[in-house]
Amino acid sequence: MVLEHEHLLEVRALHTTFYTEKGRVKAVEDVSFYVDRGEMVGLVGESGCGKSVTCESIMQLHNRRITEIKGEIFFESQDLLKLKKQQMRNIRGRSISMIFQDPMSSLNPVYTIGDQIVEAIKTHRKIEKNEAMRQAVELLSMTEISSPEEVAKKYPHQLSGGMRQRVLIAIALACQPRLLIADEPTTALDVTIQSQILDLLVQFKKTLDMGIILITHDLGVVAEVCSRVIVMYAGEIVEEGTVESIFTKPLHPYTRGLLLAMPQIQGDRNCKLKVIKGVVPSLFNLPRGCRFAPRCDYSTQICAEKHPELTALDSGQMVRCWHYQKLLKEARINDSICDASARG
Amino acid sequence: MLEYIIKRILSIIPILIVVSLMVFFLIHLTPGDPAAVILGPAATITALENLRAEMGLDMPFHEQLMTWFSNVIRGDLGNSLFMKKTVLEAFMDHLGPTLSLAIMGQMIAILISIPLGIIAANNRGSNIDRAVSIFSTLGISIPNFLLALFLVLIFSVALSLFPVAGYRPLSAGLWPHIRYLTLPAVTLGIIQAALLTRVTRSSMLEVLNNNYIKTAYSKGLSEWAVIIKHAFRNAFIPILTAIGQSFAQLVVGAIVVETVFNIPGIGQLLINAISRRDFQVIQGAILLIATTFIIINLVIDLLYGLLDPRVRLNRK
Amino acid sequence: MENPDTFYDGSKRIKSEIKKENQRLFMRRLLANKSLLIGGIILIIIGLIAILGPSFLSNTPYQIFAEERLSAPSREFIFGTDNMGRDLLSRVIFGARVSLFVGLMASGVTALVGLMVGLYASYYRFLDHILMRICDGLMAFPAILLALAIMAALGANALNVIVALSIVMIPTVARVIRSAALVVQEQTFIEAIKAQGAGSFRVIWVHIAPNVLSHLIIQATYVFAISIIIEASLSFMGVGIPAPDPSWGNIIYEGKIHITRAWWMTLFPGAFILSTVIALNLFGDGLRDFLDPYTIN
Repeated sequence: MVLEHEHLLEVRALHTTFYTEKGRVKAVEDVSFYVDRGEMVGLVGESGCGKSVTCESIMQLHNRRITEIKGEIFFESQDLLKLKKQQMRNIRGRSISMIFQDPMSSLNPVYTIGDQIVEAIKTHRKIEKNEAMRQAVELLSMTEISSPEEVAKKYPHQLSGGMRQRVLIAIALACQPRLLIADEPTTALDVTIQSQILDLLVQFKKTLDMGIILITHDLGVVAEVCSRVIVMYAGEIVEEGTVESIFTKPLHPYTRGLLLAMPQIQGDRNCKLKVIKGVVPSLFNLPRGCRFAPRCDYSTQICAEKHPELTALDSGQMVRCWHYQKLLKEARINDSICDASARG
Repeated sequence: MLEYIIKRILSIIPILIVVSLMVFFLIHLTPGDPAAVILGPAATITALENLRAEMGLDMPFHEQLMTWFSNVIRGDLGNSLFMKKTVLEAFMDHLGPTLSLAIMGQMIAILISIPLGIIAANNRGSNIDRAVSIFSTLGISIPNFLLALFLVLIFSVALSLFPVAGYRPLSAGLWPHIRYLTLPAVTLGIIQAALLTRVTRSSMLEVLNNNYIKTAYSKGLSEWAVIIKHAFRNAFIPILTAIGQSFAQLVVGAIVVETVFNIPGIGQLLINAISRRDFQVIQGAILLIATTFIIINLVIDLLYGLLDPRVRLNRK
Repeated sequence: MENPDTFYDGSKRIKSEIKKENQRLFMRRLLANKSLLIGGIILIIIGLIAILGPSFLSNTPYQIFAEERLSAPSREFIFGTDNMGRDLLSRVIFGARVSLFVGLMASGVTALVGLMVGLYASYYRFLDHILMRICDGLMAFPAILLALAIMAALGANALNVIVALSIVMIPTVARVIRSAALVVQEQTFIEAIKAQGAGSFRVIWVHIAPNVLSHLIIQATYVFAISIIIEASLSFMGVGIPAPDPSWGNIIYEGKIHITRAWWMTLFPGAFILSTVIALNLFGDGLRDFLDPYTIN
């Protein structure tokens, strides 16, 4: 097999397993994907699907004692999983940055905003504190925070959620990373603030030529800013493709369910909001066959018995479903998803 | 912030009143006539009457209470019935050894507990964590006088490394002072460390769950930088509170441990006062100790405000 | 229409199956809880020694063997003898009776009074203020110091030790019960019961009390452990159980001056104190994990 290493990030056959008191949990199984420079990739699924674990495996943020990460994570042709602790530390914050879900708790309450940005700068660059602070203020103004000098002197609890998320972006961009992982960056924010933050990410993607992985459960967000989408369910990838193909002809019933659960979908105005029945299965007790089968309208005998493989289509779209051809046909017959939903 | 400080200071007044009331009533818990109890069955009637007058027991109850309160507020805790001193003088004479012991014990406790707690929290569920938890269960379960005696059996009787008992004041030189205080201070330190290790571990665990720890790691900081600068700095606030609150326990522990090593501190003063029924000294000493603790807790509370920007800036 | 009989049978069968399943889970959780198990076993052993031990003894704890003073453990005196020539094994076993009895009584009284104070304080606002101020005052004194002061006023004997221990520990239990009871009263079912016209006595004792019982049991275990420690400390300082009756603390007190010659006078009663307190603390921790519904997985 010839490895193609021209991607910015290429994850191959990633398995992340936790050894907890309650037993072994395979949180991520056989996940492979890539991200290119200047590209934003959406990682989608309900909570508990392994999106965050996948990304934290790239950053290797898990407790090493109870976590086993297998596979390969090539970043700029270098396998991150083979790096020593010290080398990995040099990657974190400098080449790959991450921003987390909850801006409320992602900043340390006892240090000022300025100090926390300065720390990110000084960890990787030997510069004077004053110079670092000047750069920190500059970073804050880049994230379109008004009166950045004053904000730098404030403590996290004195800022609003949107402001804190901007501060976190400033911290993540402190060393101009090549890859940014954004874990639900807008979930905790108001709708208007959400789109401002997304705009900011899109803008930095362009100016810094960064690759961005956007973790979200909101397909609307993905449609706005991403070029490709990876859908995860119960620790594995169930569908992958361009935003266009995923939105126009989703081939996995789970993706279709997620789309139907979106409030505003283009097309039929009579379309009803549909929620996927049931919940994500516990990782301790996964179904034997297809993991989505218990919640799936298309499920048949084979789904309960045999675990489907991820299949690549000619179009480049990938899907993990026994019945994707049926869904493909449906998509061709009536180009609208809503009509399909009316059926069942 | 100033308003907060004043409010906090005012809030201890009712507790002080309740405490001094309780100390006052202590003497009236004694079955029968306290004067008769003090002087014993051989006392003459004139001696009894004199003592009653001296203690104010001949006054009506409410007058006794008023006198007690006005004396306490003026800082007059009365005279010892047996020593030719005021209670305050007697207390001050015995304070040095107890304080020395308590401070040494506290230092040992902090030196043991904080590293242990941090390591246990950072290796949650590992064998180190289990060993630390066994240590703290043992430390919480052993009465301090017993640990002191066990240490004496090992280090003084069997190994002859330290004196079995006794005390040398600081004026006799630093080395003898420390040598005589080592075993009692280690006793107190270990027991206190057991408690503080638990507190350190649990507050570290709580802090380590926060997202800002992940943020710190993803900046590329080393594990120790994250743990000390980010986690411990936040966990420190509840740990400090626990240290302050447990200082009371430590001093009382010192009082008990003193009796093991015949150290002439507050413990000896109290035990002697109890055996001689020197009620003025008992009341005075207990009131002083309780008041000190209330004030220590107040100071800790105010420090808390200073250390946590959320409290400091919101209570302007 | 479904046949009502089969429906009934079915539900009954399911019910009994659920019950069996619950019992199985209960046993499994009980056995999986190591601290509860180990603590419980040690406590049973110590309890048996205290209850049955005396009938196997050849010497009373008061009998003096004048020429055998301070003799080391031997076949005749397994734990050795004390400074007066009394059989230490006998004194330690009778001491167990005294120390355990005092601890048990103190934790019983503390639990009962603490329950009452906590419940009524949580139910009546005006009582709450008075009772909690008194508790604050009592808690301002360090436990052993307060116990020492009360013993100084009352005089040293077993009954007074129980009184002193109870006064010292009631505030803590009362506070725990009060806050647990306040949580129970937040729940709607209490509202509903009050709306049905239930009297305050009934609401407090029939509906609130059973819901705070698990807290009370856990607290009582810890109070028992602390009682053993404080009683031993008081007796060790000569203000607890008076001689010649043995208690673990006063045996060690008598052994203190002879510590360089007679280690057994410290070690054996000390080992009993330590294992009892450890067992109680383990049992309490286990009980807390076992009874706390939030730790159920």
